[in-house]
Amino acid sequence: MAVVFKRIIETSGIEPQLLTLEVTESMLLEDIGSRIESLHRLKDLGLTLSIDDFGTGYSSLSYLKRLPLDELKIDRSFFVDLFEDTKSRSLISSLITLARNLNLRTVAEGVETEQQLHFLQEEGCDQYQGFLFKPPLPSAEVFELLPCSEVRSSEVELITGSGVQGSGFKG
Amino acid sequence: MVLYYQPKLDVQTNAISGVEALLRWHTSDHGLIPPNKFIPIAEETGLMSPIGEWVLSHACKQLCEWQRAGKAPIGMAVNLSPYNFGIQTWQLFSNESSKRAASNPSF
Repeated sequence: MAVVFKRIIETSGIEPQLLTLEVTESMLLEDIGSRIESLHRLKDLGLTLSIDDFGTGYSSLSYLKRLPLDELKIDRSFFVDLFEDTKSRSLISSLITLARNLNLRTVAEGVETEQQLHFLQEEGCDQYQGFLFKPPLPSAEVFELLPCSEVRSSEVELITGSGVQGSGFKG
Repeated sequence: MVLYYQPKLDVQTNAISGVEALLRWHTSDHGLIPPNKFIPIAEETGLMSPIGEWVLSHACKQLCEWQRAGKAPIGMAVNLSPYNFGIQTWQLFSNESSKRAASNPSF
């Protein structure tokens, strides 16, 4: 179990705590017992585990208790009618509170407007992703947006004498 | 195949705290093909397990490459949903797969 993940982590050199594995509820419908066990073994490698698209499909709150989760992603579908439907706002607010009480980080998916972001700030959501900031980008483009490591960037400048833009690995 | 990365930001500070790796297939004839088009074909042809491993491996290497290039350590999220990888991704966890991996370092 988890041998493949362990090998990839070791050969790549990634710090395990920086790697988040996102699983969906639908993946847990079959053979839930062994899959929960698998997730515990992955967790033992030091990885972060996230439940994706939460609140859709066959949601079961018991997953939140049984899975070794660190993060809960709130599905984008709740944000479509955020300001037309008070139920959507109530659901998001409740999910954020639920996650906080379970010590889970919250990530809002599909955030497209400043209004939506403001709502999330007021509700205490931790992170967001969506077109409001950027759509998914190729490696070279996202590289330009990433924050520099203060120590490392000064070292790199000393070595190269200039920036390092565009030298990112082309996944 | 190529990975795209969607930034994940802190709600309060708007600082990038991580990215989510998303699989895309770029062809010279048809441009960028979304996962919902090519994943079902990959599932039918039994390619999902190696694709899932490729995504995980490339995402991990990419983050390390960014750090070596002077970027701060951020989070890298890899999606194990059936939509992106196919349910066969769970083969990565299976005993059979693990045994093969253990007996064959090139797997």
